[in-house]
Amino acid sequence: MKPSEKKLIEDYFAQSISEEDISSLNELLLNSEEARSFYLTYASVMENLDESGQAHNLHNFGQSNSTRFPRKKGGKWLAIAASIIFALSCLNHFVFQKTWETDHGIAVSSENLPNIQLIDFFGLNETHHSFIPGQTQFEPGEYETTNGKLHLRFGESVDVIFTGASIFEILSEKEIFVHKGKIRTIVHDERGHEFTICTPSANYIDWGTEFSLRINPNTKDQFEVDEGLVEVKDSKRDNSFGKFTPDNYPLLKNAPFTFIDLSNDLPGEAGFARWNDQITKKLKDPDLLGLYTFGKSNEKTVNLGSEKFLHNLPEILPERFKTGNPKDLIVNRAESGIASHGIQNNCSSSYGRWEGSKSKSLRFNNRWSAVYFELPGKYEEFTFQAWLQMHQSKSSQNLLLKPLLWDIPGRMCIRTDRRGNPYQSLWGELSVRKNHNTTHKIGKDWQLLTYTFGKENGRVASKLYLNKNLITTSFPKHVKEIQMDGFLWGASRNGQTGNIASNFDGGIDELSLWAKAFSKKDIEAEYHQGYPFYQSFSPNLVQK
Amino acid sequence: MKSDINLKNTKFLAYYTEHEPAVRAYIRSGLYKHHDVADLMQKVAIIAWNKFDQLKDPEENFGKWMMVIARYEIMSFRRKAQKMDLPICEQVMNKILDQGAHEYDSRKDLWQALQVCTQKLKAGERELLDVAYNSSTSIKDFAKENNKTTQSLYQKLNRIRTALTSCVQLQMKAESL
Repeated sequence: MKPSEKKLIEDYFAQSISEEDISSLNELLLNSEEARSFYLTYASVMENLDESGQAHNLHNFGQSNSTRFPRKKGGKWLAIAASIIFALSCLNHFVFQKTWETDHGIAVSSENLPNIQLIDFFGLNETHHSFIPGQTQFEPGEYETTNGKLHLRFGESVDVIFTGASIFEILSEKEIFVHKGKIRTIVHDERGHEFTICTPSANYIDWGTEFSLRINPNTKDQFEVDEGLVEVKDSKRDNSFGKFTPDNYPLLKNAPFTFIDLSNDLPGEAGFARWNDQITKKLKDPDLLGLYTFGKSNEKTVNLGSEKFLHNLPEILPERFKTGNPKDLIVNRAESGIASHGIQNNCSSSYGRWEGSKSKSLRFNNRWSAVYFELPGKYEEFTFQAWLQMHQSKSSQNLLLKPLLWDIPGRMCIRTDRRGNPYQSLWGELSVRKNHNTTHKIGKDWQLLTYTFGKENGRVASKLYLNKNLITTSFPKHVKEIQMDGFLWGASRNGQTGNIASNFDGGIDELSLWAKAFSKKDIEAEYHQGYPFYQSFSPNLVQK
Repeated sequence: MKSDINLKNTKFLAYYTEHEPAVRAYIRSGLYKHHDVADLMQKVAIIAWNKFDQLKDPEENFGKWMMVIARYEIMSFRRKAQKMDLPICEQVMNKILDQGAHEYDSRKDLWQALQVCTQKLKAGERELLDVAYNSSTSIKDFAKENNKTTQSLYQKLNRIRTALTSCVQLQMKAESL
């Protein structure tokens, strides 16, 4: 079974399966005996685990805590049967738990259940479209890549990055056999010591922390220690060629490897490259209205006098959006060039959600920070999407997106309440603002905010998502089209004075506008492909 | 009369003890929500108790007989349940329950394989499993203590369950050879 198929069953039993995945699960279980067998075993494992300790903690997470054998009204036979069953249940728990506890002290091997996680990938073939960074698990077995990058994490402490064509076999959480390929290995802490890369001619044993290898059939291995200590033994592990550091490259006769400077393949690069690829694909989508990546190449200073595309910019705005020169504005051109442009005020281009200096986002650092967008036209179907992270609330409520004028049907607004939960508003639709779900808050990690507007079963539906979770759905009665001629991110304009008040403290990245309503599946895919897993998780990983 | 009931109790207890985990697991495969399992198991046990006198050759048939009762109750539960509690459609559920009944004997002693596999987990994974299933410490507190997010621990728990399932399947296959 594929890992993605197992994941469907895993999500089902965790009661976190999405509507779209339910149909995939049904199809899988209908057609595959193997999948049904896995499903039945999974159910048995869950039930056995639950019964082993009555799942104290799992009940804290959405699964309601029912009484095991509630008293029910009935005759004496029912009472007798219930008490018998209760007694049996206790006996059964005792037997299971006893064995469980007895076995705790036995020394164990982790070889059969390795934890090998996909951290990121780029440029692999089409069959890898279902890979999810941070979730997809690799099992022992042989793998081949023809191109691109594959970044795996072994046992939470060793990162291995394959670049280009490679053939390798995962032997365990601590050992891989590489027949061909270029590999960079990074050991994060002592748990990863003795991680070994075997090749046809030698064994490379990491004693911490980084080294690179290039393996080609019928040629000597190429080897470089970037940091720390690496021991090389022959293929039978009988003889050691020595332990090597970045400063210790002795001349060795008859060694099956040569020391060579191999260019570094940095962790995080795969995510950034994959993201760039996604951007190129998005730009070809005919429904794209505007896409802002906030990279430096899309940022320019324009002189107000010469700029002619600022159709709806109110007079007050140029003053507030000025740069050092009062006549200049910083403009973020939409990557798409189709319909919109943005103007930033006191925002700064900073590191983005991907590793490395190439990745940029837009930071809102002070009380005047805001961005203005224009979007001509009316849209029966519409999606607004942006990655964002908040630093600290400037006020108890954050205004995320607000039209310049709150005056006619079709104007849409997104803000957060005092608890940090986002909610939506539509002009003239009083029933739209509702968000009873208090568990989805915008925080300091990168999060994907998506608003969709479109028809669903003949009704107009207006939805708000945070990450891949739908948090509010409403069915507007009057609004048939979205019309957002000019709107602000992170600020609002006072209708009487025309003044701009800003109250968003954080950053945004990859803001996009679409003339179509994204499905939940689209949003899930965007989340999995766009969430910077490596960046978000790496700080906790390193223990020195 | 009293001694008849005692004898029936003793016999029923013996068979029930042997087959309860497998029948419970079978019920779990037919229901979406875990907390419905206990209620349905209770119902099945009561029906089995009431009809126990009618069962011929309980030594041979008790487990499969309980499964027939369980299957009837699962389908009855599904007919009354709300659609949102039935992600798996009836046609597929019938196939699952058919296969579950067919593979009953092979899965009857699954907990033994599960114990073997649990011991193959790493110490940290076993600790997390222990916190989730056997400890009064909440996952939230455990996450705090270990500088992790609760979400990441729940993802890890899911992965552990999947890994355990794969291991149990291999283990059972090896035992059947």
